[in-house]
Amino acid sequence: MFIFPQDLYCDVRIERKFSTSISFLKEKLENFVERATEGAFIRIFDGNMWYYSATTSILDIQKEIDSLSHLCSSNSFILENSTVKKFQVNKEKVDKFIDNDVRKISSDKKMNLVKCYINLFSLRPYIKMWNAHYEENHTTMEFYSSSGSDLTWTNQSCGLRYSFNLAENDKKFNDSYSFGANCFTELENLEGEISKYIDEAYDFMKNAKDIKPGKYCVILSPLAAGIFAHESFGHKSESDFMIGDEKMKKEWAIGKKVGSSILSIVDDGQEMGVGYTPYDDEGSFSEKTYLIKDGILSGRLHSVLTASKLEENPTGNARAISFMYEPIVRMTTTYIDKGDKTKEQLFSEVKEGIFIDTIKHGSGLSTFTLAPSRAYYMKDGKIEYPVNVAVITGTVFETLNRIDGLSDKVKLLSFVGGGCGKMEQAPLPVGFGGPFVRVSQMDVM
Amino acid sequence: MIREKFKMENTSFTVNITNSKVDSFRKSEIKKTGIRLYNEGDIGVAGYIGDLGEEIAEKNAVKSLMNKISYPCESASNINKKVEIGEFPIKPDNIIEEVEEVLKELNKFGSDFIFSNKASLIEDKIHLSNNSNTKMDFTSKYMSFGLLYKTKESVSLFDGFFGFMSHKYNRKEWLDYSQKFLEWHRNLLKVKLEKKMPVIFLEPGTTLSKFNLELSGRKYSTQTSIFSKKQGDKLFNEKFNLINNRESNDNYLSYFDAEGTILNNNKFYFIKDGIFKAPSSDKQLAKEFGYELTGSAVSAYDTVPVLGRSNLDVEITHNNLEDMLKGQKAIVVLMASGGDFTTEGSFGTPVQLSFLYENGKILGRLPELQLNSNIYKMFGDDFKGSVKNSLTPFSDYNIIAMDMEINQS
Repeated sequence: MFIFPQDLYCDVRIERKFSTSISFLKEKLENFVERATEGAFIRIFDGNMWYYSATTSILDIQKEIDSLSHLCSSNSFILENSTVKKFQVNKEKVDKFIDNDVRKISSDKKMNLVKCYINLFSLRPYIKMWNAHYEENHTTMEFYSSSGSDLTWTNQSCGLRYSFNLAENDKKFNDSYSFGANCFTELENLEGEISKYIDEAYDFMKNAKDIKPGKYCVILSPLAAGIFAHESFGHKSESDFMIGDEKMKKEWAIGKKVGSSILSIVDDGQEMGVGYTPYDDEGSFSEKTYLIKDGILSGRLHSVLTASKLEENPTGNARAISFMYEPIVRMTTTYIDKGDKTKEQLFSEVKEGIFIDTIKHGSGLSTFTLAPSRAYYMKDGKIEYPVNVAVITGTVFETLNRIDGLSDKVKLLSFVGGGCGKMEQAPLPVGFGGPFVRVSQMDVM
Repeated sequence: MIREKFKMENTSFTVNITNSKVDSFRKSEIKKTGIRLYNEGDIGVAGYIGDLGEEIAEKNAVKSLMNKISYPCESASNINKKVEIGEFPIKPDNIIEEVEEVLKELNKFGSDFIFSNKASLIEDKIHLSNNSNTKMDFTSKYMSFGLLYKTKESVSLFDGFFGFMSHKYNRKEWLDYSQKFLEWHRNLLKVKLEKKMPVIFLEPGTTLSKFNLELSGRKYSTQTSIFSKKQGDKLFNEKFNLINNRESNDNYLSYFDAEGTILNNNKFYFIKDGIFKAPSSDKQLAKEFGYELTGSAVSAYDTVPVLGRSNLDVEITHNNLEDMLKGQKAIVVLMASGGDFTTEGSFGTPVQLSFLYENGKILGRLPELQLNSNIYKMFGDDFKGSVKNSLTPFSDYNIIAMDMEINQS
C-alpha cells in the first residue's frame, strides 16, 4: 500500500471517525453535530530517534513518509534493533459492530432517546437547570507497518450525560448522570436508574452535613474504587516512567508486595465498554494484564518501546487520543478484582466511617486524591446521613495495604464526556470499576 | 442569510524528552473550518478538517438549519481587525538542536535528576469572517518548554515540574533559572510552619475554578449559583478584581470569543473592588436576561457557540511580591493536584510541591502539606493580592496570594 523507506522502521495509522453529538439545554436543542473526519499519523524510527507527522491529507501520506524520512539517518541494521524486533506483525480485520453500527441509526431516533429522559428532570421542581448530551463515536482504524502489519479494527461507543443543578430554599447542589456503552440499545430503558440517581442527589442536597476532617475508615463504591485503582496504581503501572530509571526498576520489581493480600488490579483492553481496544495504536494485541495479583506486583503496561527497554513483552497499551498524537502508554479498562464478602457484610463491619458513592475527579502521584460528589457518614454498619467532603487523600502504598475488605461482585463502568489525561493527551476514553472496597483508614478533608 | 466562516489552525513542532534525552520529534499541521448559517433566528453549522470540504460543509450547514436550532442573535458585523502576537524565539528547524543543548547543560548541573516532557513551538490561528462585513484574524506564536523532573533516588513518577510558555526565550536565562530551581528542590526544609500564613499560587487556576462554575449566567439565572441574587453585593476583599482577560499580550488567547465578541479594553469585570458585578454570558443569555456580554462564548469549529469558561485573571494589586507580603514568609505552590471546592465553597487541596519564600528569596522546598480555606475567606479577608510573576522567567502571568490554613502531617 505504501512504499516504506529503506533501512528505517515506518508505520502509518489512518483514523476514520464518524461522530454525533446532540445537546439540549433544558428542552431547547442547543447543538446537533454529525462529523466525519479522517487523518493519519506517520512514525519513522531510525534506531535512535522517532520522527512523527500528523496530517489531515490522507492522499498525501506517501509524500509525508518521504518527507519525514529525509530527517532520519539511514540504518542498515534497523531490523536488528531491539525495539523493531518487538513489533508484532498482525494481519486481521476486527469489527464487532457490524450488526449494531450506530451510523445506521437515524438522527431522529438518537434525538428521541435524549428527549425521552428529559421529563425526569423537567417534572422535578427542585431541578432548576439541566443539560442533556448524547455522544457517539464510530472509528475505523487502519494500521500498516514496514514490518508487515496490515490491520483494520473498528471501535464504537455511545452514551448519555445529564448535568443538573438542584436548588431548594438555601440549599444548592450540582450533579451529573453519565452512562457510556458500545451499542445504542444499551442506552434504552434507563428511566428507573436515572430517577434513582436524581432522588439520591436531591436527598444529598437536603441533608448533607459538614464532615469533621480527620482519619476515617472508608468504603469506596465500584465507581470510586475504579477511579482509585486508575489514579493510585494504574498510572504507576505505565512503564514509560521507568525507562532508564534504575531506582524505579528496583522499586517496581515484579514479585514485590505492594498491597493487601486480598487486592488484585487488572487492565484489560478486550473488556467491552469505552476502554475497549482490540489492538493498540501501534498494532499490538491488547492483553489482560494483572498489575497486582493477591497483593503482589505482577505486571505493567507497555508500548513496544517500553517493552523492549525493560525486556518484557508489549501488552497492547500504546494509545493516542486521536490521529494527531503519537501513541503513549495508557490504560484501557482498569479494575479492582472481586473479593469474598457480600456488600452487606462489608458495610456491617464498619463501626464509624465514610462511604464514598460518586466522584467528581481524582488524581494520583505518591499521594492520591479523590474529590467525592456524594459521600455518606456511617455508624455501626449503617449509612447515617450525607456529608460534604472536599477530598479524600492518602499515600498510595499505605492505602493499598490498608484495604481490608472487598465485596464479591465487580461492576465495570463507562462514561461519556470525560476521560483520562496524560501529558498533552486528554481525554482518552477508559473504563474502570471494581467491587465495594473497604480501606481501614484514609484522610478525609 | 448571514454566512460565516470560523477557522482554527494549529501548527506545532514538538520535541519529546525521555530519560533526559531527546527521543522524538513531531510536526503537526491541523486545519479545521466551520461554516455557520444564520437564518430567521436559527443557526446551521457544519465543518471539515484539512484543506478540502467547504462545498460539502456548506450543504451540510443548510441541512443543519432544518434542525431548527434557535439562535435569535445578531452575528458579528462591521469588524475588520487582525492581531498577531509573538514570534517563534528560535527557528523550527533548530528546535531539536536547541533542546539537546539545554539538556546537555541540565544533565551537568542536574546530574542527580531525570528530566522528561516536551518543548514545542506553537502557532495558533483563529479566523472569523462573514458577509456582514466582518473579518477577524488572530495569530499567536510562542514556545512552551515544560520539564517534569525527579531525583534519581525518587520512587515517584515525577517530583515536580517547571517550565514556561512565552514568545521570549533565552537559553542562558532558562538554564540559570533551571539551576536555581533544582537547587531549591534539593534543599528540603524542616520548618514548622504557622497554622495560617500567606500562600502564593503561581498558577491560580485551581483557586479560581469555583468562580468559573458559579459565575455562569446559566446557573445565575436559575438561582442555582452561590452568587444568585447577589449582584451588586460586596462579597470579597475590596482589593479583589476578577476579570475575563482577553488581552492577547497577556495570555496568547484570541481577542474575540467564539461569537466574535470583543470586550472593551479586552477585559470584563465580574468582580470589581470586591463587588459582584455580573455573571458570565454569551449572546443568547444576554438577549434572554439582559446580561452584559462578557466574551465567554466557546465553540468547536463546527458547533453552535455556547457559554463556556472565561479566562479568569486577577488584576494586579501591588507593584511586587515584597510590596504585597511586607516581609511575611510565604508558601509558593508549584504543584497542587487533586484539590477542589465543596458546593458551599469550602476548599481543600494537597500540595505536592511548594517552596518557602522570605524577603525576596526562595529558601528551599517544603515537605508535602495540605491547604484549607473557603472561597469567601480566600478572596475576602485573607486575600493578599496579585502581582506580575517575577519568580519564573519569560512569564507574562499574574500570580495571587492569600492566607490559608496549613496542615503539615
